[in-house]
Amino acid sequence: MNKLSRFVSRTVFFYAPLIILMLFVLLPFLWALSTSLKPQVDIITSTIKYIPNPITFQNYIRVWTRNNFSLFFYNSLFLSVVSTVFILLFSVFNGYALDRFKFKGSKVFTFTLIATQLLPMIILLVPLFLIFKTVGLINNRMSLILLYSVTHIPFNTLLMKAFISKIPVEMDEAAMVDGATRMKVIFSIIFPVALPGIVATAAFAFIGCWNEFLAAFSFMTSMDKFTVPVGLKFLIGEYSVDYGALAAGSIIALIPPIVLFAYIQKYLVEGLGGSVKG
Amino acid sequence: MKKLIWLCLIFVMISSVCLASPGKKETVTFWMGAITPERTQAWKEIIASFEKKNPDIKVDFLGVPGDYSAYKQKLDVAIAAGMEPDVSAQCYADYIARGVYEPLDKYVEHWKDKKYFPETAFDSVRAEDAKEHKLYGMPSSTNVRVIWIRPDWFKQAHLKVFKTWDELFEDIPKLTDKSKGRYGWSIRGGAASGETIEQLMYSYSGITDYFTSNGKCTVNNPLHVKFVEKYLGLYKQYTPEDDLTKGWAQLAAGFQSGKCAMVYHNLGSASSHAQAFNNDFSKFMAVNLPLSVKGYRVHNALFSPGYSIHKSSKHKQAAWKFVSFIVTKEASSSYAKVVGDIPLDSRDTQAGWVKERPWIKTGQELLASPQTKYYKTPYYLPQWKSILEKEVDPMVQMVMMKQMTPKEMLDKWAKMMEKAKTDYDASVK
Amino acid sequence: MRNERWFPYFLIAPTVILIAVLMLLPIAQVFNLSLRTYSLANFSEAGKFIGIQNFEQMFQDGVFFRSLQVTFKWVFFEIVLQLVIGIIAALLLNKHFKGKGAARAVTFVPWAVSGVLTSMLWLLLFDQSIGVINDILKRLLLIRDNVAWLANPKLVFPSIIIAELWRGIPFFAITILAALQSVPADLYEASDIDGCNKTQRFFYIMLPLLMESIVFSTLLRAIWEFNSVDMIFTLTGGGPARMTMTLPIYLMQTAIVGGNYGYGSTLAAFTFVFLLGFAMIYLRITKGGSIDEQA
Repeated sequence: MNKLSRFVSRTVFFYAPLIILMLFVLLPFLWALSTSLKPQVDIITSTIKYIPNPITFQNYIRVWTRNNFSLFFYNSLFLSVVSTVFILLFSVFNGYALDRFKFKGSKVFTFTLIATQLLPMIILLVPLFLIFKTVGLINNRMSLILLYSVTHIPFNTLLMKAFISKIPVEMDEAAMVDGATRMKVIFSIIFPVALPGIVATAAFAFIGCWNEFLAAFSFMTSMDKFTVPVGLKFLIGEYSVDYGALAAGSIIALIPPIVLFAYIQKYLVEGLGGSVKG
Repeated sequence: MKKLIWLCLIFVMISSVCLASPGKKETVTFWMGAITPERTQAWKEIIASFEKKNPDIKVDFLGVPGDYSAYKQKLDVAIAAGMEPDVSAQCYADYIARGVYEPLDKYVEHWKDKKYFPETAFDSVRAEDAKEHKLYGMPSSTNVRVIWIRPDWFKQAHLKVFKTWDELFEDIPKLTDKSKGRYGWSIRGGAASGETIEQLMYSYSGITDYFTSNGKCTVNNPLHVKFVEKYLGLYKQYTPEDDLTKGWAQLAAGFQSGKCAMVYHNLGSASSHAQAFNNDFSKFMAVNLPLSVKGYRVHNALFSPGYSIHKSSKHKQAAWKFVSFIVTKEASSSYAKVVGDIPLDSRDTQAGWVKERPWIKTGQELLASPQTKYYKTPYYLPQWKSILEKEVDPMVQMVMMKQMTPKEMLDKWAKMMEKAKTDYDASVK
Repeated sequence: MRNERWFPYFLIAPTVILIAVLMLLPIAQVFNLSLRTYSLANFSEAGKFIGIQNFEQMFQDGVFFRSLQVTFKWVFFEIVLQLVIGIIAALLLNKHFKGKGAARAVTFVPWAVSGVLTSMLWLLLFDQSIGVINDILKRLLLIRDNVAWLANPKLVFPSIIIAELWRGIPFFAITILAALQSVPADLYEASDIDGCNKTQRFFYIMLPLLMESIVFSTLLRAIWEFNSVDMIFTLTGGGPARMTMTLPIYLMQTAIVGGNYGYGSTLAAFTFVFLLGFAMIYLRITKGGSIDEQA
């Protein structure tokens, strides 16, 4: 009896919601996957074909070769990795400063961070373009790296502050008694101990940069500097949408974030709880 | 180890900043919108053959993906910052008004290939400059609005292809079979619904003036009211409910998946239909617009925007060489083929691929017919398009949802256009 | 020790410089433009200073007020649903079960998918004639006739909410899942011994510890959703009849489509001031979510 009621409650409160969640999240994605494996004539049909038959990799081949996708992929990877490094570094710095120190202007700083998020990018394009022109960074990847950093640092700083606040101050103090500088504390204590948080931050930052469209579209003026999201836009034509290639390209574009997540997983499982206690 | 990787990354980044390639050749930058992988390929070939003929000029091509509004947005930003290309496509009226482009009249005057182009093509571009009628763009190809139909369905229903609007309105119910999820027509209710209705109602009424001589806009003519009542009255009766928010991509999907018998678009969608129907010409066909109530056919003013040279360009001669190359012969023909346009250069119009495509013939018939008239679409009004997109599109949806009457919509629409004209006349004085 | 005093400033200096140049400067420029005329209707006088005329126009603009209303509705439903479902998802995924890793990866997918695909994908899914949603519901006998999800005035808003929700859940799920890892295990065990039931444990132990993460991520998410345009723009373009037109879509239509950068900047300036006020009040009420200050 007890066993039965436990089974029922586990089904109702755990498995049922989990399955509903998984279905909601997965179904649209599976549809995209199925579309990417269909021959072009089977994509838009009056009776829906759920399982691609025959299965073809034509869409993948087309998007990778004809659409210059390998180049876009490299560009995105480069931009996202470099930006993420910047974002992580500065977010930890900011988070540490905000959590460990009471300094004049810290409230203003926090608020300024939030203020950077308040306007849609589209209205800032012209002024940003002028600034990048002044410093000679139009059609230069550096412009995007800087812009991505500035747009992602605020959220990740606040996230890092929350993570760092969970690390006991005594750990800093102990290290400093042993003669470590603050910088050393950040790199040798905060970074390793806050790793789960840093990794989560990295995921946020990386995906944000990886999928950014508007700035990459606006500030790059040669085709060999375009990124994956801009490249995907090529498949949505004036009169027709190449759904097959669009789905295939997007699924290829999913690989880096998924690989990253698989890696992160480990840290999310291990958790911080154990490491702090030890 | 990790630090080393970071250092490497930062080094790569800095070195990429410093790398700049010095060039001795004259470089012409060229921007074009609505680019797809096929179009990129076509341009690469055209540019390669140009550079072969002109070894001292290098063309830097930027194909902008997405729709033309994305392209315009990119141009807007570049112009605002003074970092425009030397050559760009589309020749926008507001850029003419703002003095962004170089007038091309002098270049064309001494151009040996001019004789191969119909004078009307230049006129259509000149019309964009309502004040001085200068030429700011080189036309290359043109496109024609047609109704795409399912000939097999017409056959099944024993219908002949319509000639007049009345016949068309009679055919639509006969091709509708809701039990099978088939509809006779599909109305564009989403993006660009206003522009579509404008073209259809002038085609119905046979009116060719957009503004009368005393500045009154003809949009709210009683014939147009009658047409819109009839046309939008089809909604939900003989057309799908989700027409209300459909743009072209969804209209095309409805037509290509066998849900709708007819859609109104242009020749450019042919290749996508051909692909969807596996080149089976019995399943899709282009038909010219029906005759108006006045007996002749009315099409919107032909728009062959072509390519413009920017005033700010430092390589105008080289830019002209490039522009005059791409609008003629093989170059214009091969690009028109990819886009689905009709080339303008008379040496191209008989090219092999033109004959293989029945829909191009339909378009050429329209262009050649003495029965065809064009209503004076006010492309020159910088606000024309933005009024249609921003104000008229939502009103079309309100009429479809019966929150507004066709007359109310057309009256408001006419008023806005009249104001736009007054504004324009005042600012070009 | 003098070093110590300047150290925080040293740490934040790079960020401050970046923000000043790349954010504050452009924002100042938006405010500057909001006081000028800059439109297609009047390009000969472009850049002319006209004071607060644009703002006067805004406060008489019915479309502006309606779009603001739509925005509130949009942000409210998105945030509540994303947060609640996100917390539930995080709690589910924090349990031990077979295939946990895979389930976590799956939850993460919608967020990683490129927005270019996401919006086009939902457009296809919602299609009345060839959409998968109608087909599945019909096969399950839940509906008889195909539903026009994006054209039916009653359904269009819930439809776009669901599409955006799809890619919004992972954000909260992952943030909260990450924060859950920092809940000390001994605290959790202690509560078990004290005899708290699961609900109590969640509200009295977990929730306060998650508060700081939740407070900030909710605030920023609300701001992002306020300004988010791509999903609505692709699915409905703000229609039918402006029923789904949020303020940023109106702004985009005004500035980009309509070429009226002056008035568009005014709408942006309003957005900025409004959201700034919202953030201030929000942080005051929640006290920044900081447990130290509450304790």
